[in-house]
Amino acid sequence: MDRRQGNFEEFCRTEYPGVFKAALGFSGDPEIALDATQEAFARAFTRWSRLRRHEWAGGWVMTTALNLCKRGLRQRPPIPPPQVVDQALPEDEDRIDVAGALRTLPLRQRQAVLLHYLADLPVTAVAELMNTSEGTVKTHLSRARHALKGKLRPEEVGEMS
Amino acid sequence: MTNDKLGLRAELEHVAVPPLDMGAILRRGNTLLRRRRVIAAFTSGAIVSLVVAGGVAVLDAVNQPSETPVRPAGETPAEAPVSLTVFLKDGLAPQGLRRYVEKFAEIGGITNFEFVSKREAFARFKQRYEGQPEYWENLPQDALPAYFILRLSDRGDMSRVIARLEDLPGVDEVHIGVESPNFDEATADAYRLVVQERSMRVFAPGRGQRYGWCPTHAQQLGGMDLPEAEDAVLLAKDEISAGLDTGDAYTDSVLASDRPRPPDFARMISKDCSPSLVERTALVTLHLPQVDSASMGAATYFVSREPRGWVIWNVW
Repeated sequence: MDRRQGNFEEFCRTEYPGVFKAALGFSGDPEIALDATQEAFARAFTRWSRLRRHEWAGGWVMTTALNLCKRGLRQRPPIPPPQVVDQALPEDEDRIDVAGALRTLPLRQRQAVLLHYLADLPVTAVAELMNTSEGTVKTHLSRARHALKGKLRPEEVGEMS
Repeated sequence: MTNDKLGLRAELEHVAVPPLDMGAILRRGNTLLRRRRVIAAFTSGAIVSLVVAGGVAVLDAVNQPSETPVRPAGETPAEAPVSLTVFLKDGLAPQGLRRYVEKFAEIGGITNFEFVSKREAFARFKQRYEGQPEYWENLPQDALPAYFILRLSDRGDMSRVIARLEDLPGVDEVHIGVESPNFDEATADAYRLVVQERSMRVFAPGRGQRYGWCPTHAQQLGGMDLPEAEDAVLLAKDEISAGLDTGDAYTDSVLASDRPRPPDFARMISKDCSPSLVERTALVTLHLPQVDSASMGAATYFVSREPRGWVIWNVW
Protein backbone atom coordinates (compact mmCIF):
# COMPACT_ATOMS: atom_id res chain seq x y z
CA MET A 1 0.00 0.00 0.00
CA ASP A 2 1.45 3.35 -0.98
CA ARG A 3 1.23 6.47 1.13
CA ARG A 4 -1.44 8.07 -1.01
CA GLN A 5 -3.66 5.05 -0.65
CA GLY A 6 -2.93 4.77 3.07
CA ASN A 7 -4.06 8.32 3.77
CA PHE A 8 -7.10 7.82 1.62
CA GLU A 9 -8.13 4.68 3.45
CA GLU A 10 -7.89 6.46 6.74
CA PHE A 11 -10.03 9.26 5.34
CA CYS A 12 -12.61 6.72 4.13
CA ARG A 13 -12.77 4.95 7.46
CA THR A 14 -13.39 8.25 9.25
CA GLU A 15 -15.91 9.74 6.85
CA TYR A 16 -17.74 6.71 5.48
CA PRO A 17 -20.35 6.20 8.24
CA GLY A 18 -21.38 9.86 8.23
CA VAL A 19 -21.59 10.02 4.46
CA PHE A 20 -23.66 6.85 4.27
CA LYS A 21 -26.04 8.05 6.99
CA ALA A 22 -26.46 11.40 5.25
CA ALA A 23 -27.14 9.63 1.94
CA LEU A 24 -29.68 7.38 3.64
CA GLY A 25 -31.32 10.27 5.44
CA PHE A 26 -31.46 12.11 2.12
CA SER A 27 -32.77 9.31 -0.07
CA GLY A 28 -34.52 6.97 2.36
CA ASP A 29 -33.31 4.13 0.15
CA PRO A 30 -30.38 2.01 1.40
CA GLU A 31 -29.47 0.80 -2.07
CA ILE A 32 -29.27 4.29 -3.54
CA ALA A 33 -27.43 5.48 -0.43
CA LEU A 34 -24.79 2.75 -0.63
CA ASP A 35 -24.20 3.14 -4.38
CA ALA A 36 -23.92 6.91 -4.02
CA THR A 37 -21.55 6.64 -1.07
CA GLN A 38 -19.23 4.18 -2.81
CA GLU A 39 -19.19 6.21 -6.01
CA ALA A 40 -18.52 9.44 -4.11
CA PHE A 41 -15.49 7.94 -2.38
CA ALA A 42 -14.24 6.50 -5.68
CA ARG A 43 -14.45 9.98 -7.20
CA ALA A 44 -12.66 11.37 -4.19
CA PHE A 45 -9.87 8.87 -4.84
CA THR A 46 -9.38 10.19 -8.37
CA ARG A 47 -8.69 13.70 -7.05
CA TRP A 48 -7.21 12.79 -3.71
CA SER A 49 -3.97 14.68 -4.23
CA ARG A 50 -5.95 17.94 -4.34
CA LEU A 51 -8.83 16.95 -2.10
CA ARG A 52 -6.64 15.91 0.81
CA ARG A 53 -5.69 19.55 1.24
CA HIS A 54 -9.28 20.71 1.06
CA GLU A 55 -10.58 22.06 4.32
CA TRP A 56 -13.92 20.32 3.86
CA ALA A 57 -12.89 17.13 2.09
CA GLY A 58 -15.51 15.14 4.01
CA GLY A 59 -18.13 17.70 3.05
CA TRP A 60 -17.06 17.41 -0.59
CA VAL A 61 -17.64 13.65 -0.51
CA MET A 62 -20.97 14.10 1.24
CA THR A 63 -22.11 16.68 -1.30
CA THR A 64 -21.08 14.39 -4.14
CA ALA A 65 -22.93 11.48 -2.55
CA LEU A 66 -26.07 13.56 -2.09
CA ASN A 67 -25.92 14.74 -5.71
CA LEU A 68 -25.59 11.11 -6.78
CA CYS A 69 -28.58 10.26 -4.58
CA LYS A 70 -30.60 12.86 -6.48
CA ARG A 71 -29.77 11.10 -9.70
CA GLY A 72 -30.62 7.73 -8.12
CA LEU A 73 -33.98 9.06 -6.97
CA ARG A 74 -34.72 10.42 -10.44
CA GLN A 75 -33.97 7.08 -12.04
CA ARG A 76 -35.90 5.06 -9.49
CA PRO A 77 -39.47 4.13 -10.34
CA PRO A 78 -41.88 6.39 -8.43
CA ILE A 79 -42.68 4.38 -5.34
CA PRO A 80 -43.41 5.61 -1.85
CA PRO A 81 -40.11 6.07 0.03
CA PRO A 82 -39.47 3.16 2.39
CA GLN A 83 -39.20 4.11 6.04
CA VAL A 84 -35.78 2.54 6.34
CA VAL A 85 -34.45 4.82 8.99
CA ASP A 86 -37.50 4.21 11.13
CA GLN A 87 -37.13 0.45 10.86
CA ALA A 88 -33.49 0.61 11.72
CA LEU A 89 -34.19 2.46 14.93
CA PRO A 90 -35.47 0.96 18.16
CA GLU A 91 -39.17 1.29 18.92
CA ASP A 92 -39.78 4.46 20.86
CA GLU A 93 -43.10 6.24 20.75
CA ASP A 94 -41.60 9.49 21.93
CA ARG A 95 -38.88 9.50 19.32
CA ILE A 96 -39.12 12.28 16.77
CA ASP A 97 -38.85 11.12 13.17
CA VAL A 98 -36.52 13.91 12.09
CA ALA A 99 -35.18 11.88 9.19
CA GLY A 100 -38.69 11.11 7.95
CA ALA A 101 -39.65 14.77 8.20
CA LEU A 102 -36.42 15.70 6.45
CA ARG A 103 -37.40 13.68 3.40
CA THR A 104 -40.51 15.80 2.94
CA LEU A 105 -38.28 18.79 2.16
CA PRO A 106 -37.23 19.81 -1.36
CA LEU A 107 -33.91 18.24 -2.35
CA ARG A 108 -31.76 21.39 -2.10
CA GLN A 109 -33.11 22.24 1.34
CA ARG A 110 -32.52 18.66 2.44
CA GLN A 111 -28.96 18.83 1.17
CA ALA A 112 -28.28 22.10 2.99
CA VAL A 113 -29.75 20.74 6.22
CA LEU A 114 -27.61 17.59 6.11
CA LEU A 115 -24.42 19.45 5.32
CA HIS A 116 -24.97 22.08 7.98
CA TYR A 117 -26.65 20.18 10.81
CA LEU A 118 -25.31 16.66 10.32
CA ALA A 119 -21.87 17.25 8.83
CA ASP A 120 -21.49 20.30 11.04
CA LEU A 121 -20.19 22.48 8.24
CA PRO A 122 -20.41 26.27 8.51
CA VAL A 123 -22.75 28.09 6.13
CA THR A 124 -19.72 29.34 4.16
CA ALA A 125 -18.61 25.78 3.46
CA VAL A 126 -22.12 24.61 2.57
CA ALA A 127 -22.42 27.49 0.12
CA GLU A 128 -19.10 26.62 -1.48
CA LEU A 129 -19.90 22.94 -1.72
CA MET A 130 -23.38 23.53 -3.09
CA ASN A 131 -21.99 26.10 -5.50
CA THR A 132 -24.33 28.79 -4.32
CA SER A 133 -24.31 31.89 -2.11
CA GLU A 134 -24.37 32.01 1.67
CA GLY A 135 -27.64 33.91 1.48
CA THR A 136 -29.24 31.10 -0.49
CA VAL A 137 -28.01 28.52 2.01
CA LYS A 138 -29.42 30.57 4.88
CA THR A 139 -32.72 30.77 3.00
CA HIS A 140 -32.69 26.98 2.53
CA LEU A 141 -32.02 26.43 6.21
CA SER A 142 -34.62 28.94 7.30
CA ARG A 143 -37.28 27.46 5.03
CA ALA A 144 -36.36 23.95 6.12
CA ARG A 145 -36.74 24.90 9.78
CA HIS A 146 -40.05 26.54 9.02
CA ALA A 147 -41.28 23.47 7.12
CA LEU A 148 -40.15 21.14 9.89
CA LYS A 149 -41.85 23.22 12.56
CA GLY A 150 -45.16 21.42 12.38
CA LYS A 151 -43.50 18.04 12.39
CA LEU A 152 -41.31 18.28 15.47
CA ARG A 153 -41.89 18.73 19.18
CA PRO A 154 -42.35 22.31 20.35
CA GLU A 155 -39.15 22.22 22.44
CA GLU A 156 -37.18 21.13 19.38
CA VAL A 157 -38.61 23.97 17.32
CA GLY A 158 -37.54 26.36 20.03
CA GLU A 159 -33.99 25.00 19.95
CA MET A 160 -33.83 25.26 16.18
CA SER A 161 -34.85 28.88 15.96
CA MET B 1 -20.74 22.83 20.32
CA THR B 2 -22.19 21.59 17.04
CA ASN B 3 -24.76 22.85 14.55
CA ASP B 4 -26.92 19.79 15.12
CA LYS B 5 -29.93 21.46 16.66
CA LEU B 6 -32.25 19.12 14.80
CA GLY B 7 -30.96 16.04 16.58
CA LEU B 8 -30.08 14.44 13.25
CA ARG B 9 -27.03 12.67 14.60
CA ALA B 10 -28.97 11.11 17.42
CA GLU B 11 -31.67 10.16 14.94
CA LEU B 12 -29.23 8.48 12.59
CA GLU B 13 -26.92 7.09 15.26
CA HIS B 14 -28.54 3.66 15.29
CA VAL B 15 -28.73 3.23 11.54
CA ALA B 16 -26.93 0.08 10.45
CA VAL B 17 -24.02 1.11 8.22
CA PRO B 18 -22.91 -1.52 5.68
CA PRO B 19 -19.23 -2.46 6.01
CA LEU B 20 -16.80 -0.26 4.14
CA ASP B 21 -15.76 -2.07 0.95
CA MET B 22 -12.40 -0.40 0.41
CA GLY B 23 -11.51 -2.79 -2.42
CA ALA B 24 -14.59 -1.81 -4.43
CA ILE B 25 -13.91 1.89 -3.91
CA LEU B 26 -10.29 1.59 -5.02
CA ARG B 27 -11.19 -0.58 -8.02
CA ARG B 28 -13.82 1.92 -9.14
CA GLY B 29 -11.48 4.84 -8.43
CA ASN B 30 -8.75 3.29 -10.55
CA THR B 31 -11.20 2.61 -13.36
CA LEU B 32 -12.28 6.25 -13.30
CA LEU B 33 -8.67 7.41 -13.33
CA ARG B 34 -7.76 5.18 -16.23
CA ARG B 35 -10.80 6.19 -18.22
CA ARG B 36 -10.09 9.84 -17.69
CA ARG B 37 -6.59 9.40 -19.03
CA VAL B 38 -7.71 7.32 -21.98
CA ILE B 39 -10.33 9.89 -22.88
CA ALA B 40 -7.77 12.65 -22.57
CA ALA B 41 -5.39 10.72 -24.76
CA PHE B 42 -8.11 9.93 -27.25
CA THR B 43 -9.72 13.31 -27.51
CA SER B 44 -6.55 15.34 -27.63
CA GLY B 45 -4.67 13.11 -30.03
CA ALA B 46 -5.26 12.68 -33.70
CA ILE B 47 -7.69 9.94 -34.55
CA VAL B 48 -5.75 7.15 -36.08
CA SER B 49 -6.49 5.47 -39.34
CA LEU B 50 -8.38 2.27 -39.52
CA VAL B 51 -6.57 -0.55 -37.77
CA VAL B 52 -8.01 -3.88 -36.84
CA ALA B 53 -6.02 -5.10 -33.90
CA GLY B 54 -6.23 -8.17 -31.75
CA GLY B 55 -6.40 -10.73 -34.54
CA VAL B 56 -10.11 -10.45 -35.06
CA ALA B 57 -10.21 -11.41 -38.69
CA VAL B 58 -13.98 -11.34 -38.83
CA LEU B 59 -13.89 -7.58 -38.48
CA ASP B 60 -12.57 -7.35 -42.01
CA ALA B 61 -15.74 -8.84 -43.34
CA VAL B 62 -17.81 -5.92 -42.12
CA ASN B 63 -15.27 -3.13 -42.40
CA GLN B 64 -15.36 -0.89 -45.37
CA PRO B 65 -12.72 1.65 -46.20
CA SER B 66 -13.69 5.23 -45.48
CA GLU B 67 -14.76 7.08 -48.60
CA THR B 68 -16.00 10.15 -46.87
CA PRO B 69 -15.20 13.20 -48.96
CA VAL B 70 -13.82 16.31 -47.33
CA ARG B 71 -16.44 19.01 -47.46
CA PRO B 72 -15.77 22.63 -48.16
CA ALA B 73 -15.84 24.76 -45.03
CA GLY B 74 -19.23 26.28 -44.37
CA GLU B 75 -21.24 23.55 -45.99
CA THR B 76 -23.81 22.17 -43.59
CA PRO B 77 -22.58 18.72 -42.69
CA ALA B 78 -25.88 17.30 -41.43
CA GLU B 79 -24.82 13.92 -42.72
CA ALA B 80 -21.12 14.42 -41.99
CA PRO B 81 -19.28 11.47 -40.47
CA VAL B 82 -18.99 11.25 -36.77
CA SER B 83 -16.92 8.99 -34.57
CA LEU B 84 -17.97 7.29 -31.40
CA THR B 85 -15.76 5.63 -28.83
CA VAL B 86 -17.31 2.61 -27.19
CA PHE B 87 -15.51 1.63 -24.00
CA LEU B 88 -15.86 -2.00 -23.02
CA LYS B 89 -15.96 -3.60 -19.63
CA ASP B 90 -13.08 -5.87 -18.72
CA GLY B 91 -13.18 -9.60 -19.31
CA LEU B 92 -14.33 -9.67 -22.91
CA ALA B 93 -13.77 -13.04 -24.58
CA PRO B 94 -12.74 -13.23 -28.28
CA GLN B 95 -16.13 -14.68 -29.19
CA GLY B 96 -17.64 -11.60 -27.57
CA LEU B 97 -15.91 -9.48 -30.19
CA ARG B 98 -17.58 -11.48 -32.94
CA ARG B 99 -20.91 -10.75 -31.38
CA TYR B 100 -20.15 -7.03 -31.43
CA VAL B 101 -19.35 -7.21 -35.11
CA GLU B 102 -22.66 -8.91 -35.77
CA LYS B 103 -24.45 -6.33 -33.68
CA PHE B 104 -22.79 -3.43 -35.49
CA ALA B 105 -24.05 -4.84 -38.77
CA GLU B 106 -27.49 -5.29 -37.26
CA ILE B 107 -27.60 -1.75 -35.87
CA GLY B 108 -26.63 -0.27 -39.23
CA GLY B 109 -25.25 3.15 -40.05
CA ILE B 110 -21.73 2.16 -39.01
CA THR B 111 -19.44 2.51 -42.01
CA ASN B 112 -16.29 1.25 -40.40
CA PHE B 113 -14.77 0.63 -37.05
CA GLU B 114 -11.58 -0.05 -35.26
CA PHE B 115 -11.08 -2.31 -32.29
CA VAL B 116 -8.41 -1.19 -29.85
CA SER B 117 -7.41 -3.95 -27.48
CA LYS B 118 -6.34 -3.28 -23.91
CA ARG B 119 -2.72 -3.76 -24.93
CA GLU B 120 -3.03 -1.43 -27.88
CA ALA B 121 -4.85 1.13 -25.72
CA PHE B 122 -1.93 1.05 -23.34
CA ALA B 123 0.60 1.45 -26.16
CA ARG B 124 -1.24 4.49 -27.50
CA PHE B 125 -1.60 5.94 -24.06
CA LYS B 126 2.11 5.52 -23.46
CA GLN B 127 2.88 7.13 -26.79
CA ARG B 128 0.55 10.02 -26.09
CA TYR B 129 2.17 10.66 -22.71
CA GLU B 130 5.70 9.85 -23.74
CA GLY B 131 7.03 12.85 -21.83
CA GLN B 132 5.05 12.08 -18.67
CA PRO B 133 6.12 8.59 -17.65
CA GLU B 134 4.57 9.02 -14.20
CA TYR B 135 1.20 8.47 -15.91
CA TRP B 136 2.02 5.01 -17.17
CA GLU B 137 5.23 3.59 -15.67
CA ASN B 138 3.43 1.93 -12.76
CA LEU B 139 0.42 0.83 -14.75
CA PRO B 140 0.08 -2.82 -15.77
CA GLN B 141 -0.22 -3.27 -19.53
CA ASP B 142 -3.83 -4.37 -19.24
CA ALA B 143 -4.84 -1.41 -17.08
CA LEU B 144 -6.81 0.46 -19.73
CA PRO B 145 -10.15 -0.60 -21.11
CA ALA B 146 -10.49 -1.95 -24.63
CA TYR B 147 -12.64 0.13 -26.95
CA PHE B 148 -14.08 0.43 -30.39
CA ILE B 149 -13.88 3.56 -32.49
CA LEU B 150 -16.88 3.60 -34.78
CA ARG B 151 -17.48 5.86 -37.69
CA LEU B 152 -21.07 6.64 -38.60
CA SER B 153 -22.11 7.68 -42.06
CA ASP B 154 -24.85 10.00 -40.89
CA ARG B 155 -24.73 12.37 -37.97
CA GLY B 156 -28.52 12.40 -37.92
CA ASP B 157 -28.47 8.74 -36.99
CA MET B 158 -26.22 9.20 -33.99
CA SER B 159 -28.79 9.20 -31.18
CA ARG B 160 -30.32 5.97 -32.39
CA VAL B 161 -26.94 4.27 -32.77
CA ILE B 162 -25.76 5.40 -29.34
CA ALA B 163 -28.94 4.15 -27.69
CA ARG B 164 -28.48 0.75 -29.33
CA LEU B 165 -24.79 0.59 -28.44
CA GLU B 166 -25.45 1.44 -24.81
CA ASP B 167 -27.82 -1.50 -24.59
CA LEU B 168 -25.20 -4.01 -25.75
CA PRO B 169 -23.90 -6.25 -22.97
CA GLY B 170 -20.32 -5.50 -22.00
CA VAL B 171 -20.46 -1.87 -23.12
CA ASP B 172 -19.34 0.43 -20.35
CA GLU B 173 -19.74 3.89 -21.88
CA VAL B 174 -20.19 5.51 -25.26
CA HIS B 175 -18.49 8.82 -25.94
CA ILE B 176 -18.99 11.09 -28.87
CA GLY B 177 -15.80 11.89 -30.71
CA VAL B 178 -16.26 14.20 -33.67
CA GLU B 179 -13.57 14.14 -36.29
CA SER B 180 -15.13 16.04 -39.13
CA PRO B 181 -13.23 19.25 -39.77
CA ASN B 182 -16.48 20.76 -40.99
CA PHE B 183 -18.27 20.41 -37.72
CA ASP B 184 -19.30 23.77 -36.33
CA GLU B 185 -16.44 24.02 -33.90
CA ALA B 186 -17.50 27.37 -32.52
CA THR B 187 -20.78 25.84 -31.44
CA ALA B 188 -19.09 22.79 -30.07
CA ASP B 189 -16.76 24.90 -27.98
CA ALA B 190 -19.45 27.27 -26.80
CA TYR B 191 -21.67 24.56 -25.41
CA ARG B 192 -20.37 22.00 -23.05
CA LEU B 193 -21.98 18.76 -22.09
CA VAL B 194 -23.69 19.50 -18.79
CA VAL B 195 -25.85 16.40 -18.49
CA GLN B 196 -25.06 12.95 -19.70
CA GLU B 197 -27.50 10.31 -18.67
CA ARG B 198 -28.48 7.09 -20.28
CA SER B 199 -30.84 8.53 -22.85
CA MET B 200 -30.28 12.25 -22.47
CA ARG B 201 -27.40 14.53 -23.35
CA VAL B 202 -27.78 18.22 -22.73
CA PHE B 203 -25.38 20.92 -23.90
CA ALA B 204 -25.35 24.46 -22.57
CA PRO B 205 -22.85 27.28 -22.18
CA GLY B 206 -20.56 26.93 -19.19
CA ARG B 207 -21.02 29.37 -16.36
CA GLY B 208 -19.85 32.80 -17.39
CA GLN B 209 -19.94 31.87 -21.07
CA ARG B 210 -22.38 33.56 -23.35
CA TYR B 211 -25.43 32.20 -25.08
CA GLY B 212 -26.31 32.81 -28.65
CA TRP B 213 -24.35 30.38 -30.80
CA CYS B 214 -26.77 28.94 -33.29
CA PRO B 215 -27.35 25.19 -33.16
CA THR B 216 -26.70 24.66 -36.84
CA HIS B 217 -27.73 21.01 -36.82
CA ALA B 218 -31.05 21.52 -35.04
CA GLN B 219 -33.76 19.10 -36.06
CA GLN B 220 -37.44 19.70 -36.67
CA LEU B 221 -39.51 19.58 -33.48
CA GLY B 222 -43.11 18.57 -32.90
CA GLY B 223 -45.41 18.83 -29.92
CA MET B 224 -44.43 15.31 -28.85
CA ASP B 225 -40.85 16.52 -28.34
CA LEU B 226 -41.78 19.12 -25.76
CA PRO B 227 -41.75 16.88 -22.66
CA GLU B 228 -38.22 15.82 -23.59
CA ALA B 229 -37.15 19.45 -24.09
CA GLU B 230 -38.54 20.23 -20.64
CA ASP B 231 -36.65 17.28 -19.16
CA ALA B 232 -33.46 18.62 -20.72
CA VAL B 233 -33.93 21.99 -19.03
CA LEU B 234 -34.89 20.43 -15.69
CA LEU B 235 -31.84 18.18 -15.75
CA ALA B 236 -29.56 21.11 -16.54
CA LYS B 237 -31.30 23.59 -14.24
CA ASP B 238 -28.45 23.86 -11.76
CA GLU B 239 -26.00 24.56 -14.57
CA ILE B 240 -28.05 27.22 -16.31
CA SER B 241 -29.52 29.07 -13.34
CA ALA B 242 -26.39 30.92 -12.25
CA GLY B 243 -26.48 29.76 -8.65
CA LEU B 244 -30.16 30.57 -8.08
CA ASP B 245 -32.17 28.27 -5.85
CA THR B 246 -33.63 25.65 -8.18
CA GLY B 247 -35.53 23.77 -5.49
CA ASP B 248 -39.07 22.81 -6.57
CA ALA B 249 -38.35 24.05 -10.11
CA TYR B 250 -40.93 23.23 -12.75
CA THR B 251 -41.29 23.93 -16.46
CA ASP B 252 -43.77 24.63 -19.21
CA SER B 253 -43.08 24.83 -22.89
CA VAL B 254 -44.32 25.79 -26.33
CA LEU B 255 -42.93 25.35 -29.80
CA ALA B 256 -41.36 28.57 -30.97
CA SER B 257 -43.24 28.25 -34.25
CA ASP B 258 -46.59 28.10 -32.43
CA ARG B 259 -46.01 31.12 -30.29
CA PRO B 260 -47.30 34.52 -31.29
CA ARG B 261 -44.01 36.29 -31.73
CA PRO B 262 -43.36 39.82 -30.69
CA PRO B 263 -40.78 41.55 -32.89
CA ASP B 264 -37.95 41.29 -30.36
CA PHE B 265 -38.37 37.54 -30.21
CA ALA B 266 -38.17 37.15 -33.97
CA ARG B 267 -35.16 39.43 -34.03
CA MET B 268 -33.49 37.57 -31.21
CA ILE B 269 -33.89 34.18 -32.77
CA SER B 270 -32.88 35.23 -36.24
CA LYS B 271 -30.28 37.88 -35.50
CA ASP B 272 -27.33 35.61 -36.08
CA CYS B 273 -29.09 32.38 -36.92
CA SER B 274 -31.15 31.10 -39.77
CA PRO B 275 -34.81 32.25 -39.48
CA SER B 276 -35.82 28.65 -40.05
CA LEU B 277 -34.51 27.92 -36.56
CA VAL B 278 -37.88 29.15 -35.30
CA GLU B 279 -39.32 25.88 -36.56
CA ARG B 280 -36.67 23.91 -34.75
CA THR B 281 -36.74 25.55 -31.34
CA ALA B 282 -38.78 24.90 -28.22
CA LEU B 283 -39.28 27.66 -25.67
CA VAL B 284 -39.05 26.11 -22.24
CA THR B 285 -39.84 28.32 -19.27
CA LEU B 286 -38.15 27.31 -16.05
CA HIS B 287 -39.98 28.54 -12.96
CA LEU B 288 -38.02 28.85 -9.74
CA PRO B 289 -40.57 29.20 -6.93
CA GLN B 290 -37.86 29.47 -4.29
CA VAL B 291 -36.53 32.66 -5.87
CA ASP B 292 -38.39 35.68 -4.54
CA SER B 293 -37.35 38.09 -7.27
CA ALA B 294 -40.03 38.36 -9.96
CA SER B 295 -37.50 39.03 -12.69
CA MET B 296 -35.26 36.13 -11.70
CA GLY B 297 -37.99 33.66 -10.72
CA ALA B 298 -38.54 32.46 -14.29
CA ALA B 299 -36.56 32.35 -17.49
CA THR B 300 -37.40 31.08 -20.95
CA TYR B 301 -34.73 29.02 -22.66
CA PHE B 302 -34.35 28.33 -26.35
CA VAL B 303 -33.91 24.60 -26.72
CA SER B 304 -33.15 22.63 -29.85
CA ARG B 305 -32.35 19.03 -30.54
CA GLU B 306 -29.20 18.19 -32.43
CA PRO B 307 -28.03 14.70 -33.26
CA ARG B 308 -25.58 14.87 -30.35
CA GLY B 309 -28.31 15.82 -27.85
CA TRP B 310 -30.37 18.76 -26.63
CA VAL B 311 -28.79 22.20 -26.83
CA ILE B 312 -29.92 25.06 -24.59
CA TRP B 313 -28.70 27.90 -26.72
CA ASN B 314 -30.31 31.11 -25.61
CA VAL B 315 -32.28 32.63 -22.77
CA TRP B 316 -35.03 35.20 -22.85
